[in-house]
Amino acid sequence: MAELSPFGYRPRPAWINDCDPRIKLAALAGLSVCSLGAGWLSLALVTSVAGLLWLGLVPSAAVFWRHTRFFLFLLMVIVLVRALLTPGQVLLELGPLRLTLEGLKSGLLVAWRLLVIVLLGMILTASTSSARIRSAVAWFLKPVPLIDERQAATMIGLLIRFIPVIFRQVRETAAAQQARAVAASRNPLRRAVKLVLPVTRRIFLTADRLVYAMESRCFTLERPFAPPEGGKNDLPLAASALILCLVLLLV
Amino acid sequence: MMPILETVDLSHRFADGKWGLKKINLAVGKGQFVVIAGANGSGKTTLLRHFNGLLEPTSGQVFVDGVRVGKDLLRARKTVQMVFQDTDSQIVGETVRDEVAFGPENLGLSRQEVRLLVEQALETTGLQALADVSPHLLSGGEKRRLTIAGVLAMRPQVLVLDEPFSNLDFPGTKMVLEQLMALHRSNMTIVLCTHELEKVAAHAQRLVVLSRGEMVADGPVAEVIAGIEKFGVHPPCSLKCKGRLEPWLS
Repeated sequence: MAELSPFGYRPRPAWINDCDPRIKLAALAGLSVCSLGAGWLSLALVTSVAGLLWLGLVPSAAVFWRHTRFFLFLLMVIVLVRALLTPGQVLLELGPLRLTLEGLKSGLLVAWRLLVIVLLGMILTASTSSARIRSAVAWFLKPVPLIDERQAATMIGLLIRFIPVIFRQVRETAAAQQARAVAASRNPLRRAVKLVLPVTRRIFLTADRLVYAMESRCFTLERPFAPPEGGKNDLPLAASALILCLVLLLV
Repeated sequence: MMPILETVDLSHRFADGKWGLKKINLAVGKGQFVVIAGANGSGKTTLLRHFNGLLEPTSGQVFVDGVRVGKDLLRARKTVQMVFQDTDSQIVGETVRDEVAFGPENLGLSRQEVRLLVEQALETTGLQALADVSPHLLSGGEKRRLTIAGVLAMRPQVLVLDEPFSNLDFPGTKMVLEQLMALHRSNMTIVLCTHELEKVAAHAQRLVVLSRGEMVADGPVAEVIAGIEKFGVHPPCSLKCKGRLEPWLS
């Protein structure tokens, strides 16, 4: 049996699952853009709201940790680099390295903003099937000239659909390398290269097989798209997203 | 009677210059259950991919129900449907129902027709209770049945399966084999490639052996299987121990 992933959609009786995917996508885009310039207080508010929504969708905190630990590690690196490179009041001095208060604050703020965007993205993918995301993307791209909205939407739909498969492949490859004592290698760059190369190869092979399987079943871009459908909670969701955007911009 | 599948002098050369298939002449009649056996790299998968036009022949021709595959690709793919070895990379649907609907939707059928075909395919494969489940939460045997349901929903006349028992445990293998036998009883033409003859030899009517891209044997299973070891395929244990083929399913 496959392991549950916090990124994968699972049908469940949650009110956010039934909302119009166009509103969810617009809310994600709006909140992400507004988060980029947000301050501490407004970020705390958005994080609380996103956290509450997220709690009902993600299987468990352990699953979340397992799937996002590398991203959280990246955020920690961002905080550290900012703390070391930004001039200001020195908190800690280790030889030539100086960790500053201003740098720490700035690093934490950037990391928090990125975390909020990822949380919001996870809420979207966990609560919306790739077919509905695809139809919403096609709806938004339709008026854009020179872009085949069906092709773009299919690509996005497949990408979202295959995120859990890619994660599984990363886990399997990492486990196989751990079994051969990769941890004994002290060079993190070498470890990363050894992981990335076979995983990338597997992803390309999977994509190749997927193309054959889709072609075999007469895939065409002209296949019907289910029109995006809304639910009774669309208006409250849109209003909440709008208010949160204003809070992020103004507070 | 005109064969439903036919290859005439079919040869395939890969981009790196290696020959995958050399002058294959094969005709499969309607309703036959044919097993194609061969060691790894013998050309089994390459041959199957020619049956519904996923590969183009370097030379020779492939006919589906009397029409050249390249002449009417859509017709060939409607007639011959293929179940691939790796289930995870062929499942595109978010739920079991979505996955089964993928093929009929590509054919441009109405929503009502798609719904009907999906329900029928789910019923045939016994997956109705799992219709709204994510495919990645299914067991190996269920995933394989789902891939079969996905192609059955397109109402093919020929079902082509590439190593359908790989990575399956005993219950999963039994489940898939029972499904295939039921389809064969309903007059579906089945072409199955495997190197695990143990599981399927006693149930098939005909055995074709490939070795290094060439067809080296073709005939009734009992006749061909006797000398199969020299082509790198392990004969069933029952044949070695008891001198006769014993079916996997009781």
